[in-house]
Amino acid sequence: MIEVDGLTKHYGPTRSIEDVSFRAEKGEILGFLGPNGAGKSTTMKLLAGLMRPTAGSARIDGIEMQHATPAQRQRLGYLPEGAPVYGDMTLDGFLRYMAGLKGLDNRQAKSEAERTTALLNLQKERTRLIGNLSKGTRQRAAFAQALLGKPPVLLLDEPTVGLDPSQINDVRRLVRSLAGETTVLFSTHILPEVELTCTRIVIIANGKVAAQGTPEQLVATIPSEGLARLRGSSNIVNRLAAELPGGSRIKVTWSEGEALLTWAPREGEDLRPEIARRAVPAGIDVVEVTLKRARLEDVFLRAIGKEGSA
Amino acid sequence: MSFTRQLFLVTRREVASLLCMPLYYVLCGVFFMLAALVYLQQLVVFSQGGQGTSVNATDSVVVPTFQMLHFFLLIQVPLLTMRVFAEDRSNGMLDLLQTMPARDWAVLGGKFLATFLGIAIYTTITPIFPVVTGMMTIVDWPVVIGSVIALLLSSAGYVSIGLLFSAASESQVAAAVLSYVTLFMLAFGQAFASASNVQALDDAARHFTVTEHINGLISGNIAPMNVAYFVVMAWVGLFVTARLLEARRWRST
Repeated sequence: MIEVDGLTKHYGPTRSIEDVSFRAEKGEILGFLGPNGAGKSTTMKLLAGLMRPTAGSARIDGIEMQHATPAQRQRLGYLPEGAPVYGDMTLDGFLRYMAGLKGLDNRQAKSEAERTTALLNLQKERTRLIGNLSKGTRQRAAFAQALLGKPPVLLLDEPTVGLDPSQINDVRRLVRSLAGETTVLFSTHILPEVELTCTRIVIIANGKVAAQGTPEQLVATIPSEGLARLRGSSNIVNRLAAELPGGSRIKVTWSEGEALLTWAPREGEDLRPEIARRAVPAGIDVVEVTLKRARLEDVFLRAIGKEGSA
Repeated sequence: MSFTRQLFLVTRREVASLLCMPLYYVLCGVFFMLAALVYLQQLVVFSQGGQGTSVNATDSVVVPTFQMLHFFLLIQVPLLTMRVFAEDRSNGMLDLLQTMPARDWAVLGGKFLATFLGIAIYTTITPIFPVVTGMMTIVDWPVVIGSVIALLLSSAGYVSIGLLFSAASESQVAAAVLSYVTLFMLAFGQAFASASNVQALDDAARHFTVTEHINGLISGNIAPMNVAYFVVMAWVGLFVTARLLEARRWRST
């Protein structure tokens, strides 16, 4: 389980994160979404025990990693930003070395290196020097390192950076397969990543938690929007809009000879059939009439303060 | 997991990494080339009975050769240590290592041992020069043994100082420059202190700088004080480096 409570980190006068709180239950895959520079990596480093927080706490299974014993550190798998690896080692040598440092004996290290390379489709690269591998393969090698010893908690900082679409799919599938057994904090700035991989999402912006919940809960925070594009005389269109039920809520804007009617529907209200029924007899062409439901992207853009830029 | 196993794993990895480095072989080559040149020059001067030479081959050839070898080591060590932590810091490996169950001391000890072993490999071959001299004339072997011990002990001390600055800096160049400044102050501090004509400073420099201790060992005086000087230097360097690594976890900025 991951618990972050009132976590604050200042670098001198610069505020990196402020009062960040969230938790991930056992076996949950929690998406940690935010634009570049939002404070995701700082939060990850604080959780991994690499820095001291200015205030608040970051705990894994109830333990602050800064104070963790070697045995407690075995419970954490960490893929840092930039996917560090040793370029002068073979992939197999690197994984066995890291497994050894995680406390596995030679036999376990060998079998874990085999298991993790298989999980990430790296079998063909096992005997190659990491420095000669592509960026995507190095990224997967670093990911394999985090999985060594089957740690119950995984911190993944941008695990799909540098991967091609097929590799990204493999990684997403792998992360999803960990659900239930492993608690995963999955940091990314790519929206589809969290939509396809995570059961719950924390959105961080400007160092603060801007929103959190399941994708459905987050989407529900933004109301749907009714939209109709009509062609016809402006007088007739304006009159039609005004005469519609709840006409005072309908906003009419004109662009390139078309009227764009927008409104926020009330619970159970659907103006679309009414607009079509009234427009056609009045000689107005109905180009489009639709109900636009909010997407996670809208939630994200609103959370990071760029609403309407999509 | 035992500390010894962690130490062994890190040492093995770092030795392999060192042996993959072209710079290591360049430094080995340069060290031997310069050592051979210095030795030949001393030998020629000795065989010609040049001005100021004694009749003793040990004093005229072996001791000056090992004094120069010590100076070459002083130049080489920062070039080998500068990358050890600085590289891991800049590519993020140090962060990763610090989240592992392995202890900081195991990582530090492994890196220290590997670099020291790398230098020891070519330092322990240096008795070849006195062996060659011994075929032609009488050599004082305790002096040779003292000289090799001097090179090994000073290497250990200098490596620990090099590691300290490598751990303190993300830039390899900065790590090398800081190591050079410190090592040169230790090596030549006594000369400056003597030039100042302040007796107290001169006395202090004699105890705290390298010159008297290294010259003592190279001339065969394996006194506890001379040995302890380099052991303490290595220990202090490693201790401060360990504290620096630990402090990374507690940094507030």
